[in-house]
Amino acid sequence: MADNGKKDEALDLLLPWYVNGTLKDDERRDVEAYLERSSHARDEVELLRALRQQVKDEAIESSPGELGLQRLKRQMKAEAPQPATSDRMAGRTITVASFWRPLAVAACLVVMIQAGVMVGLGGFGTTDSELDIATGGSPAVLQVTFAPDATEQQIRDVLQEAGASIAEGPTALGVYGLRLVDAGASVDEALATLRASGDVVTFAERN
Amino acid sequence: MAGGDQSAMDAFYRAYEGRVYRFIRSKLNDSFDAADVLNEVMFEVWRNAGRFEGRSSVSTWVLGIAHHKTIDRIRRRKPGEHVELDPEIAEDDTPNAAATLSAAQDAEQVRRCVDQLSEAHRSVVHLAFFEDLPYGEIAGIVGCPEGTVKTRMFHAKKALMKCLQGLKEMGVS
Repeated sequence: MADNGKKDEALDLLLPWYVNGTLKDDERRDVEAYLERSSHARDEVELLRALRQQVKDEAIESSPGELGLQRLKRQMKAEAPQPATSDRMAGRTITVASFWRPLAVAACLVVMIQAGVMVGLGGFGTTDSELDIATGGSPAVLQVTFAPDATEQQIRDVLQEAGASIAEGPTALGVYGLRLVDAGASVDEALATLRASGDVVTFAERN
Repeated sequence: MAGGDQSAMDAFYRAYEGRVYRFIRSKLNDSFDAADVLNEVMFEVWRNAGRFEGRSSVSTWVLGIAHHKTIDRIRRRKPGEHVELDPEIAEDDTPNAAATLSAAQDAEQVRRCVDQLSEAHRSVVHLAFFEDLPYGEIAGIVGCPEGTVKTRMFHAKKALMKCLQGLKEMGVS
């Protein structure tokens, strides 16, 4: 009797895997015999089947999908090892780099001079927003997607609360780039605010 | 993929991302955290694909990485953020299966009770009932003996029954 009780306890432990259909043949036969003789075991199996069905049917939000893949690719690219070069090639690379360096410096100077001219023009009556566009504005530091049913008012409230504005987008995947209104503000704090926005923001991460 | 083939990684990501995310999400109640952990898992797969020795199935390997990454994330969280059922308390005076069957057929009640399980119990419930994995494979994923998987499932079931019975008595629907 005691042996039977102990054996039944061991069989009780197998019931969830009888329900999911993954027991080995000998275990399955033992459980089936147990079910024949025990109403307790049959009740347990019925309960476990109901629980399994609910776990399978539970709806959760969509996984990140293609957005997550794009994020992964950016990380893979950022941490990709530099291509190995032979000594001869490395020497040539230095030569080419040496050739391009003065040109790159000159190009930067041209850009700086142009920007200076535009800023100077701004001092003669150009509005802040025009100046912003002329210089390209701050770069997007965050990426977000919004819920398809989010209203313009909800999006505006979230952006204002996070101290952010739309810098670019949407992309084909519906991703917007955000810049911080106060360039010195904390990106992490803005990110946390966006992520805490309930159902309005469905994805948010650093750019 | 072990040779750095990015298109192979794309295919791998698309094949496993949904399952891995769902497993992580079953343990974390925050979709942003779950997306972060998914990214960490996939990046580790990318970096360590060459170390996969084929001793287990690919899904066991990747779900094992997901399990450990999720545990790391939970440990970094502030204590007290998640209240879990104490399995010892939950096991006292456990109702019988027939009495809790009707509550177990209510999706919302089951979800509420599963959410209150400890991380270890939720993992086993998810892997056994959503993934339909044998206990041996679950043991490989969560890194414990097969006997421990069986007893965790047993305690999880008792805790769920106790929780469902409690909701039923309170008239929660």
